[in-house]
Amino acid sequence: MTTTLPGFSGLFRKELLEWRRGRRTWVVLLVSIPFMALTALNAWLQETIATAEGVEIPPPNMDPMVNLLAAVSTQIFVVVTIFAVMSLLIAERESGTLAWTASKPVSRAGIWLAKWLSATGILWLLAGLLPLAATVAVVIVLYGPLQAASIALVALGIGMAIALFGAIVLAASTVITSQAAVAAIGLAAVFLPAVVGALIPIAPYLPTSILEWTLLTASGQDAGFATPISWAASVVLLVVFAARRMGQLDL
Amino acid sequence: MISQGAIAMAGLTKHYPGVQALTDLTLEVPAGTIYGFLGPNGAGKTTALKLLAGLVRPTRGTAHVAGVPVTAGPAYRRQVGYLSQEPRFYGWMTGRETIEYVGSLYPVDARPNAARVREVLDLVELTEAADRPAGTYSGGMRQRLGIAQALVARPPVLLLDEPVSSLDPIGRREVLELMQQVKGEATIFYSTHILDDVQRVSDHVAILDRGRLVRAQPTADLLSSSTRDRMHVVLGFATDDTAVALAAIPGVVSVEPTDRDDDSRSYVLRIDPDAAATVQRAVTRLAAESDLTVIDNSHVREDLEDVFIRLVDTKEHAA
Repeated sequence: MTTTLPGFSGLFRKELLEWRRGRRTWVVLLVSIPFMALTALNAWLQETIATAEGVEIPPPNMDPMVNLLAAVSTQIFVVVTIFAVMSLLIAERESGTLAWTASKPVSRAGIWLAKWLSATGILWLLAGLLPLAATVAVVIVLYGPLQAASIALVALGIGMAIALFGAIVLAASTVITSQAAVAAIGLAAVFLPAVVGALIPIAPYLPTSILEWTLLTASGQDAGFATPISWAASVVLLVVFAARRMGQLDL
Repeated sequence: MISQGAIAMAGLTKHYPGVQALTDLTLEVPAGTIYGFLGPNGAGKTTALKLLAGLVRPTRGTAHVAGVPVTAGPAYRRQVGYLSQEPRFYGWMTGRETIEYVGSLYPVDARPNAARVREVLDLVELTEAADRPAGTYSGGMRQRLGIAQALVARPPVLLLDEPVSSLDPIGRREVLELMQQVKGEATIFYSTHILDDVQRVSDHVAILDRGRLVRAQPTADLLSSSTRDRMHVVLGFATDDTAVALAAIPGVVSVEPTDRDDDSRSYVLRIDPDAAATVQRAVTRLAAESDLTVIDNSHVREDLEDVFIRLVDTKEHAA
């Protein structure tokens, strides 16, 4: 890595240190954990309240896996990723620290990769795994046991979604210099395919369907391999595109 | 040896849409010198330095530092330490961490050790503030931190963009002294529009105007070349006839009285540059024969400001 991407280890360590020292880490945790855990609590709350109030409502689904997937399907970690990543490159470009770093003997592709890989890793942990652990705990206590393999697959799907949307936002940041605009691109990537997919049956071929793919697979359904192939191809294309763009930037 | 060029630029050109920032800059910077890059605002100095720092890509032309072409990317940037016009660092890092971070970006064989980090912090007098966040530093401290981070990996060339422009007189003096101190370690190529500073510390000077190189010379040569054809003569007890007598000296082209008081009169003599010594002796002889006192009989001394304004003005008129 050091020979192909000079300076990468120093860049990567700096990114990790910035996450460790910044307030962003706490904001991500404070948003993600309650959001997912409370979503998993929903069915139990409905039932408890209906019973206490003596109200007739359709019985909520108390299946553990369904409630885990309901919490994960909110995609809060994707929204958190978009907002946490949108400033990573643009703010540094505006402040001049990107030019400063780029004047050192480092690869510009390495600067981008260090940001993307560190953000993916940290956000997978903070917005994905820790909230998932809290949610799993809630689900097991309220609804019953879950299969470890399913949990692992969901965790993987969350990581893949975070990696994809982080790459989309960071790749957009090499072209656009407005944080709001790259956030809008990220959100469009989340919601537009769902809208288009409802009209034309292309959802399985979209890389942004990776979470749905893992959730379907985790719940024992055959989801094919089109989505993970599309995901992998898209990630590679985004990385290549961003690396090229970084090399072309006048700083 | 000072003969080998530390920086070589050939036809370096940068055009932005609608703006010709730099046009055909060809310049060689001798190793071991402090080279002042002078020009009015918008002359293209920052663009040239950014090109040399590898931050922008030239439209045309090439640049080499220590023989390594700018297109070599990271291998090229190992040769230069760069300080931008308004240095910005991560406010959450301490000064020491900033220097260590820069060091960590170099290959293992060129990575500065802890002793070197301490050494540069000491050199820029930031040892006491080294463990404070850089975000709390004053402008002068940031500038000194900028020089330290540029120096830490011992690059052969330092590129400093307006290193003193935003500083108060004390900060300016500190940074200029620092530049003189590090001259032995690296060739310094720096831009400025403060002419006094260039005259004070630069061995060489290049003048840039509207993206084009106007003049590049050793500072002393630039200052003297412009005055070889003019002499300043001050004679005590001179009369109205003295100017006529001066004009009659062989080699004197014209005489311009510039100042007078009760005891003396001053003249600027435009002369044939090759006859300077003869004219000086003739002025001394005239003074002795006419019972005048020689107060000054030397080449006109221009400062860089005069030369700069004349060169830039001339170019404007020519344009």
